Formats: sequence, structure tokens, C-alpha cells
Amino acid sequence: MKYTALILLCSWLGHTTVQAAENDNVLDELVFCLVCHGYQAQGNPSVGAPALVGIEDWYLRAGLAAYRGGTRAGYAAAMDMQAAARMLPEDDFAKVLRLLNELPPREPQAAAVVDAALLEKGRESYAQFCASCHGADGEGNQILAAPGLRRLNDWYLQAAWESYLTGGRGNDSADGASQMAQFARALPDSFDIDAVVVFLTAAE
Amino acid sequence: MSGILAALGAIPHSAQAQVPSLRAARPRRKVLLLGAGISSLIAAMELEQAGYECEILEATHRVGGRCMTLRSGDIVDEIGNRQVCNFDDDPTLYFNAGPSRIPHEHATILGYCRRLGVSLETSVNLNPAAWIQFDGFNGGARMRQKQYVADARGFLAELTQKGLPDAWLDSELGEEERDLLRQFLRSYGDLGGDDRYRGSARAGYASGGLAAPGVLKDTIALRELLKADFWRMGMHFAESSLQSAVLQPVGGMDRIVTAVLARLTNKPRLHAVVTAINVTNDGVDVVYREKGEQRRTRADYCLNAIPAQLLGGVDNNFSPDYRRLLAGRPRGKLSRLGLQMRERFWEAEGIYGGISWTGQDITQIMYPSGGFGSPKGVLVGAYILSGEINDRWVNLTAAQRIESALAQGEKVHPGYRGYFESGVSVAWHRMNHMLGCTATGSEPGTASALRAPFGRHYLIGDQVANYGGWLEASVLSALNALGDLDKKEAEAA
Repeated sequence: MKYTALILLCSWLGHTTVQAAENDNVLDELVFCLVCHGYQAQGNPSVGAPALVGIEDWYLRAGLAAYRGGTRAGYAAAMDMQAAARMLPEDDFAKVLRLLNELPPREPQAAAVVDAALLEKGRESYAQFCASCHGADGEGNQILAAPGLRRLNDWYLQAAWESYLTGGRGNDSADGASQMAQFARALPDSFDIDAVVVFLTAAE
Repeated sequence: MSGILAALGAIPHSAQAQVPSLRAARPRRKVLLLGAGISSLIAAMELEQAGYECEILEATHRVGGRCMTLRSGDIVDEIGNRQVCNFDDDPTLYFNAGPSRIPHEHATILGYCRRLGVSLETSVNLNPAAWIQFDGFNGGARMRQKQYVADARGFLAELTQKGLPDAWLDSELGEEERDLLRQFLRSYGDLGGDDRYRGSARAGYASGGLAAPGVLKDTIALRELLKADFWRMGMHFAESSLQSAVLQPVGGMDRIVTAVLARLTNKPRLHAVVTAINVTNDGVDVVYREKGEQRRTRADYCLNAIPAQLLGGVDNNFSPDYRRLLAGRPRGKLSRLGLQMRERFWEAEGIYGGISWTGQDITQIMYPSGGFGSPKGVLVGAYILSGEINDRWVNLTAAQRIESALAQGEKVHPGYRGYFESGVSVAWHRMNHMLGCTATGSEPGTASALRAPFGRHYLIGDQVANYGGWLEASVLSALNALGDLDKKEAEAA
């Protein structure tokens, strides 16, 4: 039994020689992430874990650094992710990114019926308040540390927005998300996040 | 060994009444079972016996699901806190990290224990000699539960005796009944002949009692009694189906798993992670990953014990309604921690089994109900029921959890830390391939709606039961699915 334990503890990314010694205990490396994020990395709202496919490498890295550094900690799912991030060796993150890139790309599931007026309102709001950082069509801008928004799940966009407003995220100035938190709190009441999410998740 | 249930005949024979007798399978009928927890295992045993071919896919490194007994060398695959159980290599030193008790009413699982030859013994649930410790009560000092209970009942009986309105007594009771009620209250509260409560031998004596005349303890003021949160839960929890004595398999709850496993022809495949489920008119297709490869399998029926919270990440063709119900099933949160102690110091304090309750995060200390008098023992050093406490407790590392359990245990048992040898903790809502347990609290009707078949696909496990967290619920969910499957087969034959 003790031997089995050793194998399992060593089996996180790499250590393939040890794994080969007892084939029975090889953990499928990416499965570690996909348990929460969905088995196609499509995101799983039940555990608050967003889609990882189609997300920029730099943004994933920044997120992981924020979890590792403990600066993103203001909501339950962030604490789940902190625990997971602790187990991921720094050098192996590149391997995770490579494996993620091998997964088939996915569009976030958009509502079947889109309210045209809301969509239009979202388009306008987006152009006025979001586009300067996140790009004219939500494609993102790494120089401004503004991620692409088109591949994020609708529920995740809502949840992230909520945590910027309530201080769950971006509260620590060491976190790259702090500028977004400040910006979110400065927006006028007329800003309609529901409309913007409809716009961002509508079929392109 | 005390309390081995010698007379299994004491369990009603209706125990088996719930088990469907499946008609013999038609040739080459296959059932796929997702997850190798107790619901799948029992179902597979029944199905194989009826002639079905069964294939069981399990995502983790082990069989049994939350029916998990940890012993020397066992792995806890918790995300963020992978641990190895470092108890001594001794089969009596075990820790039931999941369910540890079987109430007498759980006739189906008890029936299976009998059928499988799993020996049962008493699990002491309520022990009046165990402690309570609440920081705002009694100056934070521990107190025997029986002292609290005796005084609480004494005061209540006295108050009732004083406060019964004459008009009500006159209208409701005859002369003789009124006298009986007065006697009842005297007996209930151990009141004096003047209907006053001045303490009771039930609280334990301050001194003497056996060799010398017993001296009663001073009573605790009523306002002080109210300060101990003991009355909110610990005082009454053993008056439900979790009564004062319940049952447990001798040697650990996973003895049931081992016994079922021994009877299965097709053993569960481990590290087989389901990634997609497609229900068709005549069966179910499943995609899974095993050893880094994507594989496919197909069966006439599928019994699915994958936790609802994970199914949100598994591609499927369930109906939108069904998916909405799945997504609304909350992640239950429970944590337990086991501590190997080098001496059974609690037995020297007169505690043999049962539970001490504290207002600290660890909530409970549970004592072993067997192995009395042996040198070492394993305590459940924390069993945390509150979602709020669990939310913060899981964020401690494995070592920090042990440290916190030892520091808190010290208030219940001075010198606690000195007996500690090794510890292991399980936070079920962080466990790999589980991420939750005992889902309850969805909108009414969710469990029964999820229990209903979706074509030839059945969701099983305690997650579709009205009372989560029990082996009985898991098994009944499986038998419910088998009943429907059998009916469908009868119609097709």
C-alpha cells in the first residue's frame, strides 16, 4: 500500500519512469484540471470553474499567479483554485497549456433566443465602456492586461463582474485585476452587464 | 470486543423486501455503471446475479466512493491536500472518513450486510459520560454531558410543574391524571418531594457514590445552561434514526465494499474518467479517458453515480430541464479528521465510545466503539457539519488542520496533544472526482425528478435521495433504478 501511495503522490505531471513502474496508478495529467473545469475544459458552473479552452496563455498564467500568490482569494471558487494551484509545479504549467491547446475549441453556450434590443444595448455599452481595453470585438489586448472576452462562459462573465464590484477580485493592488476592479466600480449605473454579456456571448 | 451483534435475527426480515428480484437477463444484455461507490457496486452485484454483463468505470484510484475507511498507507486524493494515512500498520487502527454509522431503520443495507456476511457491532452514538465544551459556558471548561442534561431536565420539569395553569389542568385532565402528570414531571426532572430541583445523581456525584455516600453536584444556573450551544444539536441528535446506539461493520465501513467486490465477476476499472454521455433510444454511449487515451463504450443501460456537480462538466444530451436540476444541486460540504493516539486516554476518563461536542470548529470528537482496552486508538478529531466552518477549514493545509484539531482538542482533553501520533483529514468537497457530498437543499422535488429515468439512463447515488449521506439512500437509489430497468426489460421481452 505504501508503494502505491508514493506513486500517486509523484504522478502529478512528469515522473513518468515512476509511473511506468505501476501502470495502474497513472493519473491522466490533464484530468487533474478538468475534474473542475469540465472534461473538455468547457467550464462547469456547478463548481464555479470557467472554460479554459480558447483563453490566452498569458491570461491563464496571470490567473494562476494570482491564485498562487494568494491575491485572488475573495470567493469560494478562488479558494478551491488556490488549493489546486498549490499542487501544480511551476515548470509544468507550460505542459498544461500545451495540452489545453490540443482540446477542440468551443464557443461558449449562448442563449437560444437573443433579445435583439438587449443585444443592441450590449453592443453600444461595450463600445462605449469596454472596447478601449478589451478590443473592438472583445478580442483582448495583452499590453493592457485585458483578456479576450468572447470565449468566457456567460455565467463566468457575470460572476467575475460581481466579484469586481464586491471586492472578491482585484482588491489586492498586486493583482493585475485591480485596475479592472477600480474601473468596474467607477462605471455609471446605466451600465448594463446583462446586455454586455448577451452581446459578448451572442454568435459572432 | 463489545456488542457484536450476535443475533442478526434481530433485524426484521422485511430488510430484504426492498430488493427487487430481477428476471433473468436476456442474452448479451449489458449495463454500464459510472462510479464505483456503494450504489453502483450493489447494483452490479444484483445485475450480474441476474445474468447481465456489467462494466464499472471509476475515475479515482480506489473503489468505494465515500464509503472510505483509511488505514496505514492509504491515499487521500484531496485537491490541494494529497495525503497518505500514516497510522500504524494495524487493522484495528482505522478511520471511517465517510459514513461510519448505520441506523437500525436502514433495513436494506443491513440486509445486505447479512447477505454478504459482514459482521456488525454496536456503534455508540450517545454517551452521557462524554464531554461538552463551549467557550461561553462554564468558563470554557468541559463538563460531562449527563450533568448538563440532568440540570436542564430538572429545571424544565420544575418550571412546568410551577407553570401549569390550573384552568388548563381542570379542563384537560381528571384528578387522577393530574396526579400522574405531577409524578411524571418529578420522575423526568428528578425533582424533590416539594417539586423543586436541587440536583440529581444523574449528573454524576461531586464526590463519593459507590464506596462513600454520594454528594450531589451544585446545580448549574438556568441562564448558564442556555449559553452552551449543546442544546441546539448535540443534546438531541441521537433521538432521531441516529439513536443512542447504531451499527457499524467490524473493522471499518469499507468491509461492505470489500465483500461486494469479492462477488463481482467484472471488477471496476480505475482511473477511467467519463467525459461524455449520450443517451440513445436503445442504449447509452459513453466516452471516457483511461491511461491518457480516449475510449468509448456502449451498453443497453447506464446507471450513473457521477456527482451532479461534476456532470456539469461532462458533455451529455440530457434534456434542458434535467440539466437545470443537476446544476441546481448544491455541493454538500462535510469534513472529518482522524487522529491516531498512542494511548486511549479517554478510556481513563471513563469514556467508551460516543461523541464529545464543542463549540470550536472541530465540532465533535468521536471515540472508537471497539477495541476497548487496547493500547492505541484512532479518534475522529473533527467532524465538521457547518458549511460556514467547512468553507474556511478546507483552506488549511493538511498539517494546519491537524494543528488546529490538536489545539482545539486540548480544551476538551487537557494533555491531548501529548498523545498524538499521526493524523489524516478528508474534506469531501475538495476530494478529486467528487467535489462535494450529501447534496441537499435544492428546490423541492429535485431529488425525485433526478431519480426518474432519462431514457435508459438512471442517475443513482445518495444525490438523488431525499436524505443524502446514507448508505441506505445510495442503495435504495440503485434498487429504484433496477426496478425500472427490470420493468423495461419485461416489456421488451
